[in-house]
Amino acid sequence: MRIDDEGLGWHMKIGIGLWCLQSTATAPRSFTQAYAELREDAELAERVGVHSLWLSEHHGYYDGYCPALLPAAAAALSATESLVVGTGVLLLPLQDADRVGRAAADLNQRFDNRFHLGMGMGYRPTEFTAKGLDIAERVRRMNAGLDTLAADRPGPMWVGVTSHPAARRAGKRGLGLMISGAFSKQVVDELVVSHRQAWTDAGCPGGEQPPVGLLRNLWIADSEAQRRQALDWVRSSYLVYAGLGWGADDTGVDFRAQIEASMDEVEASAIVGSADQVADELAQYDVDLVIARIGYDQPPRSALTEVIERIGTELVGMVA
Amino acid sequence: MRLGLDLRNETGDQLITKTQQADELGLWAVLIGGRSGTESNAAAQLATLTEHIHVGMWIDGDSAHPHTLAEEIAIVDHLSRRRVLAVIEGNERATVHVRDLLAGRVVDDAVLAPPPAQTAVPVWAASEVATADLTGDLAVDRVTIDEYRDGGESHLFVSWPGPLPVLARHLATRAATPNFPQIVADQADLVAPYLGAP
Repeated sequence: MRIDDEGLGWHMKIGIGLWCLQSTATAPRSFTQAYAELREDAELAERVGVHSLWLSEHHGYYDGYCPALLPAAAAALSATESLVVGTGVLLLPLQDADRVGRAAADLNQRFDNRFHLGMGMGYRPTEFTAKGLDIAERVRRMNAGLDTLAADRPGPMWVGVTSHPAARRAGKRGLGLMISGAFSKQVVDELVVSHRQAWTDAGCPGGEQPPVGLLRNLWIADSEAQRRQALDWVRSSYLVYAGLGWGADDTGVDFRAQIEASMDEVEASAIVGSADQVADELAQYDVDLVIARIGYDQPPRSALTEVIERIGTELVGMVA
Repeated sequence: MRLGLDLRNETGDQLITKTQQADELGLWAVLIGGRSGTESNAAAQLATLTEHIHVGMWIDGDSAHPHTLAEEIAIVDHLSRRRVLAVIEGNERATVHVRDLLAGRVVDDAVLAPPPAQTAVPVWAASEVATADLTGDLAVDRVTIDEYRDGGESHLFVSWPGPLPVLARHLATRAATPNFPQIVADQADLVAPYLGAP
């Protein structure tokens, strides 16, 4: 947990994610409706005191996974007055970093510095070839892009990570660390150490220790039946990632080949329980921001809006 | 001929205010610009603040990969509930590439996902789009509108220095049909005057 300046308590901001604006095989829907609900969800999150809402990106996937996060962010920002809206994450090597920086700065100018730019590398070869790029170039493009943006500073920036090299990549540039969702606490702690060490070794760029964010599968549930239901939603949501061919470096799990095993890993790292239980568990993490991953495709809309309300009205006050 | 409002030189609150007023007045479209990457932000913002007006994005076709441009247009189309249109400047191949992706075709083994909300998003090359700077002098501007309309243009984007209600009453109406009865606009100024009427 993060001790405040007076040593009197700990602060943790709670955001919600990941809004992917999909129409999946599990839960088909209108894309236009999905984008309308993004604005509604942003308004609700703001009203109940949630810190931020985070969007996620892929390209050319069957379910229409959002490929253009900045206009989607503009819509959510336009619908709100104080909510932070972020990308968790924008795939930087697929874009021109100067253009991304210009657009991010524009959002912050347009919406009172409420936009946070989270960036990741991407891992699907087809997304690179669709834009005339070679995935073999992704690390070079990521590093070059981060250098450009770290120099320009178009607003708060985070780097989404699944590995120690990525954590160091963020730390040495003074950028925030956003840790992927399915890691054990031990892996999370190790990534935070890597990030901070890299920041220190680089001479503390920016002067202020960059923040750490943690994406975490999370749901507030009161009964065992609700808890089981939420965990099933978490599990099924990873079908999307299985289809995308995702595999996190440090889990040692191949999502496509070992779907059940990987879902077990995801379930083990999920935080599901009463608001008290969730808060107690989150208190073990030395992070500044938790992004509650609740944007699953399976829950009915009423369940999603209810958990947004409960995160805002119950959980936020317990950790802030 | 449809008359749209060219707001490429407007920014900030002026852009928002004029777009909202144009929306209330029933104008067909606004055309917005901006540095590459920022035009889709502005379009998305305006889409959320309006109900009916089409949001036209003037895009530099050389500024990003056509797939990226098509993705941004498609997302704004959903945000606007089928009200986006695009004008692409510069790169003709980019225009074709964007148009094909938005139409649902596979281009270079890639497909656009999600598809836009509209079945056919209007995507024009800059050379295909008529624009005119009106003067605010209705006697002069009527002639300009007549020339474009009678010359066979289907759409015209105009910059307009005067009050938008005047444009909506006197010129958007005039653009719509070749035999516009001017008396109805002139009488409307008498029976339903608005602030800033000539």
